Amino acid sequence: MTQANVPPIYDTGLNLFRTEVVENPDLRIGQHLISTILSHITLERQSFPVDRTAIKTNLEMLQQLSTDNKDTVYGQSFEPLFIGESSKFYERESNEMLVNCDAATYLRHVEKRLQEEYERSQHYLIPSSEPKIRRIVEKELIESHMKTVADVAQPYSIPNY
Amino acid sequence: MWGVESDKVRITTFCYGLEIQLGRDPVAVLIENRLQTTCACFRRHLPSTVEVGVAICRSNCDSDSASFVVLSFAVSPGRGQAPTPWTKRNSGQQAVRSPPIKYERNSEKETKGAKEGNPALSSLSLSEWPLTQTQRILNDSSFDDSWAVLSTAFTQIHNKNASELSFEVLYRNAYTVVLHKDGEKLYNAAKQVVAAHLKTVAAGEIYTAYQELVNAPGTRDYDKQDAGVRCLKVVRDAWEDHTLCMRMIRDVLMYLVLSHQCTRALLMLGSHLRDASQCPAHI
Repeated sequence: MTQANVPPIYDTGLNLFRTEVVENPDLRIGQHLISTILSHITLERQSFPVDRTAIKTNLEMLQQLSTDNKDTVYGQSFEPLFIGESSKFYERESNEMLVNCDAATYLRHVEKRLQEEYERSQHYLIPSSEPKIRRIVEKELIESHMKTVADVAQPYSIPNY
Repeated sequence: MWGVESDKVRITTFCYGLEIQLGRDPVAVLIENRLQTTCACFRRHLPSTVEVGVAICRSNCDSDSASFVVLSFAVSPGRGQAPTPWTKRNSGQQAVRSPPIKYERNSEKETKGAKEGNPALSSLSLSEWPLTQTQRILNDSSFDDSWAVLSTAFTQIHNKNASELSFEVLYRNAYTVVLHKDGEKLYNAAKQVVAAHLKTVAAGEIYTAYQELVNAPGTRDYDKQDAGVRCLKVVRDAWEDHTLCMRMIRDVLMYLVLSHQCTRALLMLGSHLRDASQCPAHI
């Protein structure tokens, strides 16, 4: 028998779902799916209600589909785009907010965002994404604007004798 | 067909047979010990849900060499561990449980072994047997016949009509195909059916849902939110249907999976016996 090297039929079936549906070159369902999920995440960040369960099942599906180089579709296609989109979103947001708010409001907002992203990663992202997205929020909202925030904050934080 | 050879132990597998010749080991007690090691070895390398029966059919003992031939090596799902039958998906009725598959005893060979007074035979469990060579020929059917039954069944499974299928009939057909050494052909044919079905699903409802999303009125993300949720749900349903169908297909092709594990176990057993033969004093 020459079957010793073929994967079990169930794994083959899951793999077929990836090649025929998600990564089908004619239909591009994977790209549509990922951009839909990303737009829903952006909507949630803008305080619109979204269907978290639907997003969760789809992301779990992407996590279960393994690619040829032993990664998953989630890790290979979704996560880089998610990190990129989040980075852009927070860069834009921090630039807008620093023009309009004082430092205390800004810092409270940063804290809220960190909390939100943590909850999101618990609700429907894969746990391994949590440190990555936290890093993005810290970088875009805090590190990049440390000096600006400190400058704006000075009159309030250090009493002027 | 493959074999492992060393100067003391020779193993040749036939369809499901195993021949072991021992070189300089002192006679009958050692045969029994070695055979029990063999059985234990099979059990260790196979999942606990699988039962193994090994029987000696012929043995030759003289003062300084011994050999025996294991012609029946049966692997079957363990008792009480039959593959989980699926429930009817479209109705609230109770699940239909298929009767466990029974193997006929290989009476002819057993008698022969008993007549020769083999000491080890009585100590082995002979509860599960594969079909014998003769019965296989009697039950002969071509790959195409079995595949016709199986492919119809897969279509039914994909169309959510699985409740009308008989698990036993399907399992038996898959079993026959594998015994006729058409396992690989069956594997590839099943793969094609699944792929074709997925193509239809992808180009059908999933693609339609995404067309609706692209054509939805409005330009902002918010305007397209409802259409987006529908897409996510369509993909989710397709995924859940697919994993369920694959579980059923895996159950039907259980014997294919078992024979795959069996091939691996035999390969490991071969090297185990070869290693063991290097130090007969410890057996």
